[in-house]
Amino acid sequence: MKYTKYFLASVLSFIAVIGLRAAGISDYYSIDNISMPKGLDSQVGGLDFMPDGRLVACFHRGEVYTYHPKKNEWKLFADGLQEPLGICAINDREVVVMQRPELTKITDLNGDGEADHYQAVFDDFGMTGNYHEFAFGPAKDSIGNFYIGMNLASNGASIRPELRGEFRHYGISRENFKSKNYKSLSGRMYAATPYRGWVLKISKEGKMTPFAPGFRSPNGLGFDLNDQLFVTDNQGDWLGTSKLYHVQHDRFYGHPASLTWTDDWQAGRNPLEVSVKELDAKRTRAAVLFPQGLMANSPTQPIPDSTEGKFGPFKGQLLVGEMNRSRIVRVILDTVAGEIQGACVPFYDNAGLSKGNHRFVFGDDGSLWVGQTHLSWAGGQGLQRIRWNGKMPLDIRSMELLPNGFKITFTKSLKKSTSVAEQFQFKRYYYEYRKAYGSPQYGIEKVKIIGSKRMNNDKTVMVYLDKVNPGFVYQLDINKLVAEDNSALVNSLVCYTLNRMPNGDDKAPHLVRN
Amino acid sequence: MLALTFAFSPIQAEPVRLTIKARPGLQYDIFRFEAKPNAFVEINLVNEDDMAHNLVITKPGQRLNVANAALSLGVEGDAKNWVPDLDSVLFSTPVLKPDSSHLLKFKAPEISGVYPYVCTFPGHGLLMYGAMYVGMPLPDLAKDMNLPELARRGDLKQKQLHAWGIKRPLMYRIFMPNASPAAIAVSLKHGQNYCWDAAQCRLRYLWYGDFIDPWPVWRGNGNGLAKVLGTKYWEAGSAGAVQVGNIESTANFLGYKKIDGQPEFHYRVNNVDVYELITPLHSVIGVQRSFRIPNNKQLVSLPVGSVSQVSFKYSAGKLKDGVLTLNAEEAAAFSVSIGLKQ
Repeated sequence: MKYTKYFLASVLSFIAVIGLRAAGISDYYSIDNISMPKGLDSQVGGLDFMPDGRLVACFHRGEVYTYHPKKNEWKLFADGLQEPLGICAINDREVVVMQRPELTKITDLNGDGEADHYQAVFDDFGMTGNYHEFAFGPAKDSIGNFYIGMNLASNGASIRPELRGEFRHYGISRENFKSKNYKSLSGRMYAATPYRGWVLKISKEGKMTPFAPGFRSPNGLGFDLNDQLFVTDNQGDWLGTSKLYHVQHDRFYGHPASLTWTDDWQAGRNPLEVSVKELDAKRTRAAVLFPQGLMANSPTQPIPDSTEGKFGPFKGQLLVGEMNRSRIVRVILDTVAGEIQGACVPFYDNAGLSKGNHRFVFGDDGSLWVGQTHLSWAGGQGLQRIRWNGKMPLDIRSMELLPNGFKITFTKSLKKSTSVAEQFQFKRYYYEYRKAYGSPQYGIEKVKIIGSKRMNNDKTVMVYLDKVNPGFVYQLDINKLVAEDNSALVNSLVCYTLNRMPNGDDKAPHLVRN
Repeated sequence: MLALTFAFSPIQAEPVRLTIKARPGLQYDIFRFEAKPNAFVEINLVNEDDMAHNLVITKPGQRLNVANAALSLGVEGDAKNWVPDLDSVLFSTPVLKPDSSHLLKFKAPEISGVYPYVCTFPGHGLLMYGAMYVGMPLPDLAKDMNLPELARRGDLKQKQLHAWGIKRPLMYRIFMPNASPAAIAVSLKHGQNYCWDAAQCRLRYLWYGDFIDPWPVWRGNGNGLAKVLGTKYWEAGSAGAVQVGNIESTANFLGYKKIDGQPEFHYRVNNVDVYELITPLHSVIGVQRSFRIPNNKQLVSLPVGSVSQVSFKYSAGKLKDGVLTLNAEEAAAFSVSIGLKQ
């Protein structure tokens, strides 16, 4: 009797917990773990779909496998690659893989499902043998050009005795890289061989165009649905916090090490000794900053929701992976005076998602495939699949800058009784542009809401603020927001990167310390 | 009669029954075992490898002599199961094809001692052996000089690094010692291994026995070099890539095609396509480099490096000062081989 009573009590309290639980992502999306071949180190470097519906994935120890989702069947396609970190399926027999030393086209010539031909599409970039010289991409544009990202070397290690490509460093000689104090001269991250710190464009025929310099660790290249290239970069030296850049030809994105390999760079001039002001004037700021510790610490691949609504209400928006926690971030872009900037929100947190979210691809059915890795840093491994269940979550659909505030549109109508002044809290801060590793948040202050307005059947809220200036992250924390249908807001954190005002003013001298 | 036999053998030695597997990488899975003098021994030899092996038990200290005598059998070798006619051979199995087995039964020698067992199939005897301890205690594994180095280190089992287990040929693009960062390591059949440099389009070095330990690279973010296992017997040094014509030019790596799992490298020198396939020699430790240079009208030169310490052969051309020179016709298809000196 006694035990029965306890049992009943615990069941009742369990039910109570369920009933009171706040709305979460798992009310709208489900996640499955995909079983992997036994004996495989399942750190995923790249994911894509072949036209016949097979998934193709590359892994840490150099294997490429195909996976038949309906038959739940893995098959080895290729092996022997060196740290492949991206894959692009060309057809049912051919993939292009970015591996450490090379962009490689891999073909199954005889159609037995296993590759026999490995063609070096492009390998005309340098390698010092430094572990940090990863190679990222390829991202493919609408006409079939590939874009790849060349990681900088890290002074956590030196260069090896044999290099591939020319040596060039205006702060330290090749000989001095053997000395114990090379670290102080090389820079924290360095570009001692060609095109380190660059995004390169490779035509179908293998012709290379140096596309844009200024990157540190661009572990994520992707095109949105408008054929615009986006690249993530990781917090560190010259990056106060992690970023998403909208990358355009010949612009400079902020990390100076790569400037050594620009045509017009003056020989002998060490980029690390150029004034921060000069570099700041030259650089293009990130479209979106991911506040460190809050939004993302190591962002990965950006992928647009190309599912035409099969994956939920965020059609066309970019999703970005995060390595350090169980999260996928969503990016809400806003074009202001001709330049792209915008906001980020957590899209998927926990609820069965692993850490190390690295590579993504959408299936024909609108499900999102997520591959994880760690490479000995924070992260995970394996493959997961996320599906939308068709129910509409309450979440932020868009956020547009106004001269005096923001226009925020939700996925559905808010309850009439919602008080914007009570539920919305704004603050702002900035990250310095500087040589040091990372930046604290500076100038943190609350921003007062001085007015608000509802529109569009209570789906849209205009929020007017007392201070709206370029060069700040505007962080919005939303308390308890409830929709007309009584569903609660899924994600309550929004960070908008304000680079430029609607009138084109982008002056932000506070970003560089005098 | 039977009872009588027993009566005359007051101390009957315990019989020994064991299974020894021939494994990929030229090794037996059991490197040593004990038997009492005169004990009945039954070895079930199972060949799990993808090439042929046997097992020959020799008199103490005779392993290398027997293995070398087997090598010199030449064309007669196959018919004799690669077992030479020597007093020092005590017991032997036939040569086993992959996935077959043989039961070898014998009475252990009367005299105590360390009796080697070895695979006398050509090229295997240097690596593939073990020891039967008759009437003698086993020494410390780490100090047992009667065993191959791998066994002394205690790495009896190869780590399984892939879903497919262990296979040869196998190739990795991986950071290697004494090569550029764009190195390729290849393990061929018969325990042959080489390192080829994709940045410089040239063979860097050769070794036999176990392949590499990739773990220093794979355990983390790539901050390490793979470790060469086995025994290195040739290194190219500064000998460069193939040259075509009189203009010194850099070779451009274009990739490779897999032929029976082995890469045939493709590169371009002075606008001429060069193809290079490296295969294991069959009956000795060594490799053959087969070149194809079609559609070429110029002289071809191949710096062969230092070959005085190895057995070096070439199918065509003239060798002078460490450079093999061939006319266009000869260069269309030629080969060189580098083998361990007997």
